[in-house]
Amino acid sequence: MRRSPPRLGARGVAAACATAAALLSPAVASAGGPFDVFGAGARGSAMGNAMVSHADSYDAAYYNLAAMTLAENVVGFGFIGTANNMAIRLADRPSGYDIPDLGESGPAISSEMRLRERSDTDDIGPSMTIYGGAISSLGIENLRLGAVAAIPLVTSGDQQSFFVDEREQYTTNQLHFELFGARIEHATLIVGGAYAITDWLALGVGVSYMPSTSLQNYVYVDSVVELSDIDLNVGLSVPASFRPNVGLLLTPHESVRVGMAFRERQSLLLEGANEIQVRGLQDGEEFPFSQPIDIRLMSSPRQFVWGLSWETDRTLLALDATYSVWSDYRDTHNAEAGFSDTFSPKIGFEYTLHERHNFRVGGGFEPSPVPEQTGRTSYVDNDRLMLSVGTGHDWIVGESVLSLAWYAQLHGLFERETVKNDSQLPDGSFPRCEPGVTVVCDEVPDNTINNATGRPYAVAQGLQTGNPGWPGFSSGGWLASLGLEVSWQF
Amino acid sequence: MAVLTPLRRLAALAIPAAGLVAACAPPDAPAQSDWADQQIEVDAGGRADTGVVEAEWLETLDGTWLQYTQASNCVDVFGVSYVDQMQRTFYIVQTEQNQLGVLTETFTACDVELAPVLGLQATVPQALLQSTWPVTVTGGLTTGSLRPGAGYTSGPLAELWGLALDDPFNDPVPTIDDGPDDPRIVDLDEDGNPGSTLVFPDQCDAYIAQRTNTLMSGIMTAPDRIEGGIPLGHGVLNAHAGQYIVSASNPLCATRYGLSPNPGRGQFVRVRVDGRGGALNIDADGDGVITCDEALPWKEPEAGLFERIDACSNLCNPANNPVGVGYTEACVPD
Repeated sequence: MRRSPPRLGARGVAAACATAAALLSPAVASAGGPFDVFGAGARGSAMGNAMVSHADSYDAAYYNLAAMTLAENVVGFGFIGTANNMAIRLADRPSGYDIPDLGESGPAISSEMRLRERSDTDDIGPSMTIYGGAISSLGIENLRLGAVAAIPLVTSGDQQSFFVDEREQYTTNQLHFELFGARIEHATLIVGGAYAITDWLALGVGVSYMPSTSLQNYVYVDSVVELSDIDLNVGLSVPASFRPNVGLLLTPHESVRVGMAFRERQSLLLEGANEIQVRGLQDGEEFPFSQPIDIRLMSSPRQFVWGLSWETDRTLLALDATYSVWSDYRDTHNAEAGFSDTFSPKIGFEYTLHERHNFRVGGGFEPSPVPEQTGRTSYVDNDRLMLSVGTGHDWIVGESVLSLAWYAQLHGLFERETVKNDSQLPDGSFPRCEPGVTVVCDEVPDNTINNATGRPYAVAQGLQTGNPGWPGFSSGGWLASLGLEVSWQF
Repeated sequence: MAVLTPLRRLAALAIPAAGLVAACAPPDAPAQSDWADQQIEVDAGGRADTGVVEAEWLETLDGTWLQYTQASNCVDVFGVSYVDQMQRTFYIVQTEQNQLGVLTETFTACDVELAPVLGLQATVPQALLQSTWPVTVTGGLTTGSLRPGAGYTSGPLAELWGLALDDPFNDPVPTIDDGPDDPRIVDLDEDGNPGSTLVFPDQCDAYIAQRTNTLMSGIMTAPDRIEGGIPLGHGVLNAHAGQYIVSASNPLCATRYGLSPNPGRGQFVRVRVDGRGGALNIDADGDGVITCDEALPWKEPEAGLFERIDACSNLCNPANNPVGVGYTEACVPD
């Protein structure tokens, strides 16, 4: 299974062209993406994504850039399809906690006025992503340049920012899986180079591309009672940003390899502001009004990956361990999420059934970085166990090798149940919902004064909350992935 | 090592996969949590037991009364929406009745509550209350017997906010054509701004000059209670009234809306509270004078003296003019 040393030739130039095409791809892209969950390439996906020490095709651009030195000139493409039955079920709300009608100038809009009813999340659709990549030596024996990219064709539909507290009642009025959806369903482009410094040491460096979107919108409102009729200009700029990836590959013994990879964290930032002018308010001190935009989507954590593989004539066993720095994760509204770092193991096994026909199997465990959500926030995530299987088949075509591989993965999300804590203040009330409050909070605190009467609202004593995650929720289900890949080595 | 056949290999893989699928079926929602149903004790709005026996019939209306006036103007928000702007005024009324039965009534407003328009809630500050009231009215009459069903009509009540008029009933109110420097506009509340200041908390202040004319007509429903309406409509909408927003701290508060009559929506209730004839006595400190501090706790419906009527903005829309239909039937409360 070990590849032969790289060669230079016309085919190398073709591979270089394919690499350049990938480099010039205009796709909106970022690090990780679908590769973070399903892996890059059918071989890696079938082997539980335990590939850091032995990736030997363009998939090495994701797993470990240094491992590109194991690859020949190669170009390939494939697809990833997913289906799932993941669900978030909301606990029934006991009576008496809705926000009553407190009038037009009340401190909160009545619960009866929600545009969308509070509901379970069980309609996450299937997705499909195509990917491709290439590696070229450019005729230099110990050098490799490579790229791998993915473009989603069909997404599950959950591609939006969302709040994880009571504010979400005014938008979808649902809960959302924090680490699926947009985070793994977006275009990805990773490019890099590797050099075999000695027979036993190779180093790779690269970048993943991410646009950093800047918005400056201009709004003019001619009448405060005709808010549907506004003059709007949108200013958009998309400067590029890159995150570094670094890889190291050691070969201390002809049958043993050790790989290490570092991936910097990255997010798609939507930053800027809406500048709003309202006729009639032009003499105010705050005119024009500025509404800041600070959204981040598709966040990938900083990762350190270590891998070890042991290879014989017919078998390959690989172990990976990934340390993901979730503790600095910020959610889609750029709020500190309070996640914990995780350590996730993976294992892969490859067995040569017959010459050039390989059977692959693997698995991994991803502990959730999300702590118990018994307070105000409702980040939803589950521990995940993944099993994978697949095969690879090579055919000699002239001086080239045509490869076909497939894989199937099943991710089981361990059921997780959350019940909110009844954390009252010493006087038996609940704190006002405001920045910094992390416990279950009251949208109409008992001491809220009705300006019309000068007294507290009698009908809003006790706790009033429309938080979709209150009083609790469960999440779980499974996620399946199937992929097919064709590649050409020359 | 024995080699599995392809079929057995698939079966070997299918078993853990099936187990994983079975173990990871979509979850049920959490069962009933520790959160119990919440009961909020709210007075249904009925009269509280004030501990007062039925009052005796007296030969005069002399004495101290509380009056709760709820009146309405329709606000036309640029023809887009219509708002029933309720004004609820809570008065202490000191009444003297001469030998001819003519009433002299002194109104002291303890609280004026204005319904919000487009989410803007105006509040009437103490400075405005104290600079506007008391207002003394003469000319009120009764039909004599003061028995159940006896009629009552007030004298014309003119309430001037930020205005100094020689004839408070008939002098014209300045308009935008007269400009903010018109000498009839005075800084009555002495806050340095023209007219009287209405406060929109956390928003802005409006400086207004306004006259509100009111004529009340009702009947005695009990020896200590008069109930009635405001048949000509309330305040700014009748012929002798007017409103001029002189200025504002923020253009939003200077927005001028179209006002239109809503004459069927005004009502008042007056309750004797000086203890005469066995009526309720709210003179908590026993000094013989009923102050706003003593009166205000009796304003709320929970106290059992007065009830609040709903605002019905739907009836302000000309398209919903309830011809031949009572307000109660046609009202869709806001």
